[in-house]
Amino acid sequence: MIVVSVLFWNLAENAAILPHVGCLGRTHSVDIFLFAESPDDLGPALAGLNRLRRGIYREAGIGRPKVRMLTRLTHPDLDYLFTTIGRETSVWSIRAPKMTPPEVLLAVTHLPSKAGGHTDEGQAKDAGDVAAELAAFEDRRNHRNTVFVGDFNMNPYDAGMTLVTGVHGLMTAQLAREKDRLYRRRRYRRFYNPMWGLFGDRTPGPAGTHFWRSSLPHNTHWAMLDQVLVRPALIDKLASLAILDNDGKHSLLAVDGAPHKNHLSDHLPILFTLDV
Amino acid sequence: MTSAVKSYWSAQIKPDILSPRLLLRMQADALTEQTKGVLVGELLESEREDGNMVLTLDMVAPAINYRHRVLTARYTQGRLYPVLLDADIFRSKENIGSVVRSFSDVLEGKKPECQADNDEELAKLVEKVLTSSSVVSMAQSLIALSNEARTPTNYIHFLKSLTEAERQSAIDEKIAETSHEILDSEVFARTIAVTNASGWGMDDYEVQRIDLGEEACIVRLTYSASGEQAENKAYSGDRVTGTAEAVIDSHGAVEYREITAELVHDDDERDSEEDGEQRE
Repeated sequence: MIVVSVLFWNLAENAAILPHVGCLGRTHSVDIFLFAESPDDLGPALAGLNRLRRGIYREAGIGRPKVRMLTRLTHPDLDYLFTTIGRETSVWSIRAPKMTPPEVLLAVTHLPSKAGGHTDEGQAKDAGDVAAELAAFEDRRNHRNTVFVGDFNMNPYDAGMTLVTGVHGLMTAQLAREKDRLYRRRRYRRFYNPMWGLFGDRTPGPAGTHFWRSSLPHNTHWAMLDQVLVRPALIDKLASLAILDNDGKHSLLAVDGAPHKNHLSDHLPILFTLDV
Repeated sequence: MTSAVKSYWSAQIKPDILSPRLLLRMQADALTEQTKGVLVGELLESEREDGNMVLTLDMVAPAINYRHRVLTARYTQGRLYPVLLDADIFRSKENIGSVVRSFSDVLEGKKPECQADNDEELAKLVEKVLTSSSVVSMAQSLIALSNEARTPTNYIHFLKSLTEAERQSAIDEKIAETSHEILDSEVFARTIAVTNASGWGMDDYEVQRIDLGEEACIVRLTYSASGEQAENKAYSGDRVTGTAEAVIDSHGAVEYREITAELVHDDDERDSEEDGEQRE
């Protein structure tokens, strides 16, 4: 395997979204679909994908993690390695002949939202716990070739995402490439968070991955809750990254240019490819 | 006359108190022993930036290279109790009511459900986690998957799960890998015995028919093989064609039977040889 394409999407438990999965598979030749808040029955999505006759897609995973996976990759190209408590984070191994060692860890998460009653502090604590678990897992695999993707329910600028004791996601490749940060006599590894570069309307694609329709006085409207972060070793291997506003055939946006919440989801999918 | 001295120390102060580490280590080992190593209990210890110690108990399924986190236990460094546990049962939706109760407990100064103040309480909480339906069902799934991984897949079932095109491709791959075995058969050896050719190799085969049964897949094929004609020896054929049945069993092993082999004489070759003889 050389280039692997991964699509993450929070489906908002809406089964009406599933027919679009086949279109996404055809348009972007997706190897791995990751779905947060998926409807129970992913059968219609699998049927649409397998009608394409571009490999045999199946649901992969053990014990149904919070983020479910449909994929056409099989062992040894893809293996399931680890699930955390609450099934909120799962870690997969992708065969990566161009890497040393020849493995990429794909860590997938769906962290609690403020809508569920979480505070900034609670989110930062959870992010720190997950980051620590991930670092320990990397150490066990003896490498840091890690991609971290999911619905973090935080923006790239929120404390849980940026704190040295949290995810420690930095906005530039230069910052991310610096050596582990020493803080209170402990070393903390870094992530590069390329989602910073996709904010607003001066870059191609939608202004964020999530849109909040609210009359509250403080509302950024667009948010970047769905993110992909990479360790420094993978910065140059991230071949492409985009927030999708269509599936190649249909728009995923409503007339106001925001995600089609009523028919589809209040989140938009993110698609990235790794040249590994 | 003797009189027993009454102790005013708490009955909970006793000589056989277990540390969280030891208690969880014993449970990790118990899992390994109980499953005869199909699952391995693994206990890891780490120190967090806030000074807390964290123990994690994982179920590891070596056969499928998979790890599932069962619980974490946090305590302050240098002071082993109280311990705060985290596990699926303390997060599950069904437990939301008790989480709310825990929250109101905290407000009322009561301790959370996942807190153990001593080893007896910790043992009870750990037992509750390890016997919870989520842990039991995950352990059973991992054992079943491990056993499946250690048992070779039934190749016939695998073939049946494929589409027509995929099945033909899979069978063709099997034949391509094994068709050289036809050359080792007695029938083939007898046929080429009369030739002056050596170094026989399979040139081509063509699948004529596939019968996929419950126990085996029978593939009828035609083939063509050729050898290297020895110089200075009379030409008596260097090509063989024939038919064979390949029987693919549930393990994916292939056996060839009903083999026929017929020597094909190249007329041009024979004519030129005869011409040569006449010239001599």
